[in-house]
Amino acid sequence: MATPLLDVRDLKVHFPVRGGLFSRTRLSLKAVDGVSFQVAAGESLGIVGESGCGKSTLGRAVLQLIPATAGKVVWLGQDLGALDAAQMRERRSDLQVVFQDPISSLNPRMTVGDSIAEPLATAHPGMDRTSLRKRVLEALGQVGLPLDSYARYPHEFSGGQAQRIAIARAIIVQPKLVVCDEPVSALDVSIQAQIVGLLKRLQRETGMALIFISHDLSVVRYLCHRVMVLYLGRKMEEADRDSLFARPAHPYTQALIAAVPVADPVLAKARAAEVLPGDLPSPLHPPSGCVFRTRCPKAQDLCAAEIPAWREPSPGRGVACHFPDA
Amino acid sequence: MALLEVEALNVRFASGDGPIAAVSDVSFTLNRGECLGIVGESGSGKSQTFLAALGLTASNGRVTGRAVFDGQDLLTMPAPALRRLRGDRLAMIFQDSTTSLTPHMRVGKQLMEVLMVHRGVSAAAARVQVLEMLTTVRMPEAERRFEMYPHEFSGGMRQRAMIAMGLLCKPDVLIADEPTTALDVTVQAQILSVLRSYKENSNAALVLITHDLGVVAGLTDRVMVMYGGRVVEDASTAQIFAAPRHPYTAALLRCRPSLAHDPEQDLVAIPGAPPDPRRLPQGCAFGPRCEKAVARCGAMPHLKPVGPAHEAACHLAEMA
Repeated sequence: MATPLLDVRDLKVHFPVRGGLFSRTRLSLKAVDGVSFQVAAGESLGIVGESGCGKSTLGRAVLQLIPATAGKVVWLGQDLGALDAAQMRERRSDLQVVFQDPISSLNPRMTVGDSIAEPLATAHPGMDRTSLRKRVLEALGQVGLPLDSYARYPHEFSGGQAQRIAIARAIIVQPKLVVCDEPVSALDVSIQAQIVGLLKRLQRETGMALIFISHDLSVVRYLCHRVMVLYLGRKMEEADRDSLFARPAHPYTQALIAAVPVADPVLAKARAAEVLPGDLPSPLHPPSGCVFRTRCPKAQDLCAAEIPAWREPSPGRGVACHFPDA
Repeated sequence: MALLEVEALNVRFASGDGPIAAVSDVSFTLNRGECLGIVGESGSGKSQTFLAALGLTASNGRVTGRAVFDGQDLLTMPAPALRRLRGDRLAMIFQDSTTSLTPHMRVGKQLMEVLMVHRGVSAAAARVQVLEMLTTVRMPEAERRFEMYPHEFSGGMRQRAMIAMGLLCKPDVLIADEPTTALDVTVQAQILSVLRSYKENSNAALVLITHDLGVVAGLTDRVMVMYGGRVVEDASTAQIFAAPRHPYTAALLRCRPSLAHDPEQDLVAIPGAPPDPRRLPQGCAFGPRCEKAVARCGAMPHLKPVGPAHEAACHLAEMA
């Protein structure tokens, strides 16, 4: 990879928590615990894992919305953590975000036009109203909303349309990277396909890079070039889309793929037996060694004793497992 | 004889904007040992149909029609008799397990109450049965969880507790409303496997209400697809997936990416959004979003046979 757009190095986000109601012990919740990855210009990276795996925290730390405990987020060679607030504001238009719940991410008292114009006006304080309006109308067209949406208010829109408004707000500043955190999970099935299709088209047309955080592997497979699998704040596996889905090396990736419901009655009944047991362990008391070992069908003594090192058996593919499938 | 027979069920709500047609003219039968899937998006009437049958419609709602369970009409039954059936022979599991458990009572005790109230079982016997049931639904460390409060549970554990509660009295009809929607895929697979084994090891009927066709595929025998408060297609699960006859069912199957889908091929999205039940379009509710719509679709299509044990409500679906 040439100079990557985004280079995340050994990022840690730990939250201090009290041990119990009357306990004085201080524990540390390791939401993200030493994750490294890169994103190239125009690339889309999927981050998958179950709730509590740290995928949203990771997204927020990359965007500098929450501080990292350790590690670096390097954007085009510049360490974002070292920037002051004013310098970071200048970078904001490069890095945009789309959240899960579109209605609550829009100001209910602002017209849709003003909402979409806001990030552009902030990035270019000198821009006149006519130019702002022209750019907003372009953005409305790009996300497939009628131009008369401009003067209307968020409550007049359905969830799917509100998500289009949020996407218009993100792309109007022509960002180089958009982080999407479960952007379709709250939408009806028939609407999800519209938004996923829109993101894919926008990415192709504008060349922006995408970090797509989701628990839905089918959607990630459809939208992303590369996929990273997280479990309890650590990276389990990373590979390009086709090899990850065709030959998952980590037992957790295999279990995740096997658990995706298939819309085919014959196939679904045939594989109904394989179920990953148990729940995610408490992130306050993660298992020793490999964090996945308590649910892993292949776990052995070594897995409890030693944290598996990150290995890259072939270019573009990495796995943290003592006994990965080749 | 059918275990549950719903006939011409209608649910209307009064609202400031005029009446809301939540459920219109829904009829179906449910047999012992059968698993029926109800598929639809928000506002399709899928949950309201079963809330109405169980007498749980909100106070501004009006329900007409019949819902005959084991020879008795649930809609005209005196409230105390219906209360005795609910939670006992008829159980419903809801999506939001957080609000369905009492926050200030230990989970084990809440579950014991179900047996003590409905079955008059002693506390000691109830405790044994609850622990057995928690093990059946694969609650990790059942003994310890028994003494815990709902807020100490993960979402998956709360949902397992809810399912345990639903299954305790070994109901004849178990209605699961989006039981896995808020859960992770691996936990979803566990919950579905618990429901599957209940179905296989009892003579009960199971109703699975969901928006997810993937969830329906592995578990159900028959599927009813709802849209705009009406049933638009009713067929065996195999037929729904292999040969859907309603354009909405076909479009739903096409618009969802799957692991078998070629990722380079564009998804076929359904344009527009599901209709607002306050402002349903004239005629077929799917008409405005349907690529095949013709002038005739302005008149309401009725559910009619399109093949053996296969019905669809579409002017264009003709007898195979």
